[in-house]
Amino acid sequence: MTLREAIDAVRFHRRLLAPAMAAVALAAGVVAGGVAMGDGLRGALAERTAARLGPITSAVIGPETGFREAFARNLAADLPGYVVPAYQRDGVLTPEGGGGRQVEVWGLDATVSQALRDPELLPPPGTVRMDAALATALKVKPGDRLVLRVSRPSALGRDVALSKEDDAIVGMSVEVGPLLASRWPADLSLRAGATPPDTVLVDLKWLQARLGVPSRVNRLLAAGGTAAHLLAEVKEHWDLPDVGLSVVQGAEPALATDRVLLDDDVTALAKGPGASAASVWFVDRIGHADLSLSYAFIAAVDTNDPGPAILDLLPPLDAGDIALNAWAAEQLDVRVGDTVSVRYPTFGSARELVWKDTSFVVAGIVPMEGAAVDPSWMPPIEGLAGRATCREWNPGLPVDAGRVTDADEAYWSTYGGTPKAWVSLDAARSRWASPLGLATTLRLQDVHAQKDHLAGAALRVRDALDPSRLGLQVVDVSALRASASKPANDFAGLFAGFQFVLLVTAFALAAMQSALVYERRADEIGVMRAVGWSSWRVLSAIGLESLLVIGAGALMGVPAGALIARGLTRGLQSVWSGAVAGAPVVVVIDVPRLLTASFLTALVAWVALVLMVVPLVRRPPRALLGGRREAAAPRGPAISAGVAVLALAGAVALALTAPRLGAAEAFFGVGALALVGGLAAVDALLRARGAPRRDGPMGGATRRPGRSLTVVGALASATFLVVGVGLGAGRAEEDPIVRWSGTGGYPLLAQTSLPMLHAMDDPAGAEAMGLPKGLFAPGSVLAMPRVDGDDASCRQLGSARAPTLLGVDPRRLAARGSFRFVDPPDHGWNALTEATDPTVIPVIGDDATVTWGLHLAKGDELTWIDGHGTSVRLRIVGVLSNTVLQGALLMDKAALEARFPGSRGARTFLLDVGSTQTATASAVLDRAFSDLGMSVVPTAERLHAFADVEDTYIAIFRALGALGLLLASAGMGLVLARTVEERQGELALARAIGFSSRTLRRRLVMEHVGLVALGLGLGIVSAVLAAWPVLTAPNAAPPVALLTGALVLAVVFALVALDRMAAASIDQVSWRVLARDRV
Amino acid sequence: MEAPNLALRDVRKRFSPDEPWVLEGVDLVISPGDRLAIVGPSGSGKSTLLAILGLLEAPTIGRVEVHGQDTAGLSEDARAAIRRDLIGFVFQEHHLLPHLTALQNVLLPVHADRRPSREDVARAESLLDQLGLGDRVGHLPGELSSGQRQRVAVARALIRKPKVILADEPTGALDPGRSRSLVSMLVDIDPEMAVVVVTHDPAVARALGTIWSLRDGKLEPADRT
Ligand SMILES: Nc1ncnc2c1ncn2[C@@H]1O[C@H](COP(=O)(O)OP(=O)(O)O)[C@@H](O)[C@H]1O
Ligand SMILES: [Mg+2]
Repeated sequence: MTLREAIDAVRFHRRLLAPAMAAVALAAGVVAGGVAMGDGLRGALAERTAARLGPITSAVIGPETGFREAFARNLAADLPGYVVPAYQRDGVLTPEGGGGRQVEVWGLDATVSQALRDPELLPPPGTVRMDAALATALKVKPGDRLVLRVSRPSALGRDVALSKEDDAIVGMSVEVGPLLASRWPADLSLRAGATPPDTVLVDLKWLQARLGVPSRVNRLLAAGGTAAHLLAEVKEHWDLPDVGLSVVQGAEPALATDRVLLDDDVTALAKGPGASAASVWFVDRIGHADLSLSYAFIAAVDTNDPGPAILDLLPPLDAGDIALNAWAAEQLDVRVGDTVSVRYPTFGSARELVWKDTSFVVAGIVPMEGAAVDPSWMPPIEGLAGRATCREWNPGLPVDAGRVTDADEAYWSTYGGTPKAWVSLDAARSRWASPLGLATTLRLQDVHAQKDHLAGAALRVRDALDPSRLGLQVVDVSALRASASKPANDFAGLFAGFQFVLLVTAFALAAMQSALVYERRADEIGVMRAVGWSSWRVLSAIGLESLLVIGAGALMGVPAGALIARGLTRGLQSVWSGAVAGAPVVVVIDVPRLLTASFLTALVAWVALVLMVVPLVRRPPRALLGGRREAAAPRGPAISAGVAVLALAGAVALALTAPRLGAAEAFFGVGALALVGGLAAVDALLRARGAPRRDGPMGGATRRPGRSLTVVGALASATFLVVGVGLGAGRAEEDPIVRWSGTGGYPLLAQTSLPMLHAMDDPAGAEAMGLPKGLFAPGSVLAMPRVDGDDASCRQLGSARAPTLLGVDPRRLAARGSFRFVDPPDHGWNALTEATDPTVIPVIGDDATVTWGLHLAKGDELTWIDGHGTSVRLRIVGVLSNTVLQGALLMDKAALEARFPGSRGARTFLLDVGSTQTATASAVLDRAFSDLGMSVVPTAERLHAFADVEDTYIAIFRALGALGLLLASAGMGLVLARTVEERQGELALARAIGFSSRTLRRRLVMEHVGLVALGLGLGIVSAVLAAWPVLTAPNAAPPVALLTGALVLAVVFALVALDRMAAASIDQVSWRVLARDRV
Repeated sequence: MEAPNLALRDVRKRFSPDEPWVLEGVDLVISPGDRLAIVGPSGSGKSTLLAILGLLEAPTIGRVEVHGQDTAGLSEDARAAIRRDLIGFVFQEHHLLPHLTALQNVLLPVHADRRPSREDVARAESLLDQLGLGDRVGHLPGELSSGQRQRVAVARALIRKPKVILADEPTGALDPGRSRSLVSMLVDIDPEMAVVVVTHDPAVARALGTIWSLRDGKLEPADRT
């Protein structure tokens, strides 16, 4: 047959071929639509990743108080691209009506405007810029006023007891500027994870002034250039002030730190020549008999190191000895040999200072001259350094101005912070050394005594140190970015599985419809064979003709796919918005890709069609000419029954032993086995019924078991997708009341910048903090101390991504039944307190944090530097299902406080107020704790924010399931059409003798209802099996109503498809068939 | 004398083991130039016999020989090739392809192994003309009457100059005049071509000469009445 004739044939048979073409178009459209949605999803993820930090390739994270802007400028000059200096603090942004949110505040200067070529980007001082999403969440619009609360940066970190708390939070009234159009630069956070915190931009100078850090920045964002390049430049350009160190001139040059205690790395320099460690301590009083003096510095010097000039003036000092300066000796009226008492502070394991008393024997009195008068010994403590009089002192330590005498004032104005007493470093070590350290200064040797010896000493120190160990960290942004696009659950496999099920369904139906065409035209094949055409010749003729039809269908599949994807997306965003919470589902119409997908589907369908036509062509011609059909397959039900039993047993076994809940493999493994088993059972049933029966339900089904199976399978697969996703991804995960859910049964999550020292659910504590009586029942608040990860003091070795640590009371969580383990520890929550090895601390994290954030599993360890500066191993002993505490590892509270002394006092809270009271409670908390920088969010909202990638996937799964149902319903219609085709004569006769077409239609539909029921039933059973682990979890709450709705819809779908097809097919049955002699 | 073109040796046929035999031992030899008519009541198995003879169907028992060779072991495609080269078949239900014109339908057997040449087309047109369809060459079967379709089917059977023509009631839908001219055309077109016609029409049967009657599954010579 020539192409011409093939075209003629297609044209002649257009009415017969149109449904086949439509079926191919639908199948190709479904696959192309799936591709469009998949591309959209990938695109959205990629866009999200790209938006993350925009063009930034690497960054420097500095200490809280920052580094010099000059350092930033020098770096910028040597780097390609541009370098944006920034000052970043965490803050809470509260609109007038309350409801503050935690934000990252970024102070940026004109560099960023230049870099982005957007002169309007930077807000004028006093305004904040945010993106529309944050504005919506805060319910504000440009021009509205907000309060921005930011904790004041402190060189000490609030880990250290010396930091001051009274004005720790700076409150600023700000105006909302024009909203940012795109995610970048609204997405500047350097934190890892799929859900970056909200970000606001402010003017750099304005922020620096408000926070009291003029000319300091703590972030550098570099666009262009690698992290390695940036690191090299940092090492080249850094200087001591950039890490809070300075060299001051005293009797010899002295290295001071604005953090009071020197880092271990710095102290270690004292082990070498040229530097000697000393610890200068602020003591509360020194007393002798009735006399005492208040507030003095005592310097502990290393008497074994000949460096510092003061040693020449000091007597030999044993651990119990002290040397007073002449002024102090006079005040206390002591002589050599007298005993003095000293009251001094130590850092306990808690935040509060612990005061201790000790005594020393006076070993010598140092005259007020030479090296003994040297204010350079005093550490640059905030609130002391630079104050003109003692009355202006305001350090983090309690200072009572009433105890300051005129003599003290005179000493301060004459000698400044010159130590009033001297002890040996060993004496200090045994008294006030803490895990945080001991040395406060290094006395450097002034060997050369050159003119610029100070600079020389500084240079020597600088060269000996590694800035990246002192708080100047270089972060590779591309690694961070990669972590941002990782959804907390790996749905990629699931997505592929879904698309595959859909593809198989689509193509089975397309092939079935096309094959129907040629079965209808069997007599034509018979004629060709009868007049001597070889089977190959016949096949190629059919192949050519069907290629035209299927090709046309494939072409139509592209617009069909676009329409399907668009329609579904719209549906998702409107009809199902409740279920998907408006998760952004976009569609990418990439015509070449859709064409490819469409044509591949068509090609597969075409190959399947040809394979289905081969046996037809091979049949003896007379059988074809006579319109004689094959008899029912002779095979008995035994084989099918065997397959059914095996597959179903396998499915049950796999469901019961599925190692991890919701894993894609287990889900599809169980589902596929159950489907296969069920289909085999149906097949066995149909075969067991033997000879076809014409009436009643299943009458049409037993007639052609293969065809019925195809469509039952399609319907079952689609139902499986819809129900399986519904059950497996139920939103019960987010139910704020359900305790096993990710909320832990706590509706509210509160976080503060400063620790709360009282318990909110203790009546006395609540009263002390001014909370209304009975707001929180005892035991309803889980207050957790927190060690922030992922920030400037990044503690996890070898990685820029450190999780936050939270201290929890394991018994509390165990008793409450909060959260759900996907990989439970051996003894549940108690595993946190069962430390077998003192150097290993057990921790528990959620799936998102452990598996996807850290790429670890239960049993793995990570290494941290604890608050004592020693390295500890954190062993993951259990993995929770996703929780509202994503990004954190949970540790026993007592262990956390012991290991991280500065963490004392809770900063993260889970609050149970009963679901009805959440609004009231969050308003009360907002007001009561704004000075702690508290932000309160509903846990459900928080979880939702974590899950938006997953939500997008689930939304698409629902869409694919719906598509599957659509296809399967269409397939149902096709089966009916073929039944009608085969029984034309019967039906024509029925009409001829007066059956109304309505009656016939109803009978036909009824015959196929059994298939619909089978398909749905099989799909539901398979889905229940596949989702078994989730369903059997404690207090599982599958969304039954939603699913019932979906299934009712599916039944209606299928019935309508059947009815329409019955009506259309019956209309085509003509009396002519009666006139035809079919042998 | 050359080997007969077609021969049936003790052919028996039934359509399933539960059904009675349709043919119960038929022997038939068809030699070049033979003119046979097969008569018998409706349902006696005439069409079945013709189909077996035309290699469209296999016998349940017995042999079908082509030029003395048994065809039992042949593949379906080998049978198709024999049909192509040896046999012209006229079906009772004429079986024209509905999307092809009368001329294209006539040329269909040519397409089995080559593209029709100019001579093929000329021959097809001349055949149609001889059958009184000269003005219907471009019509689709749907646009032809039952009798016209039957004649197109006859032309299709003749297009490849078969050695044997097997026609199943080719005159069923024709008036007596057209029946006569159709039969005489079949008889006259090629003296070497064997003609086997299943018919109810005694006039047609007489025109052919030898008449066999199919009764109770057996073939027997019929009275020449
Ligand atoms: N494909 C078939 N399957 C079953 N029985 C058949 C088939 N074809 C013909 N028969 C039966 O064989 C017998 C002979 O039919 P047929 O050869 O068409 O008779 P005739 O052409 O003489 O009217 C009839 O009883 C018919 O029912
Ligand atoms: Mg017949």
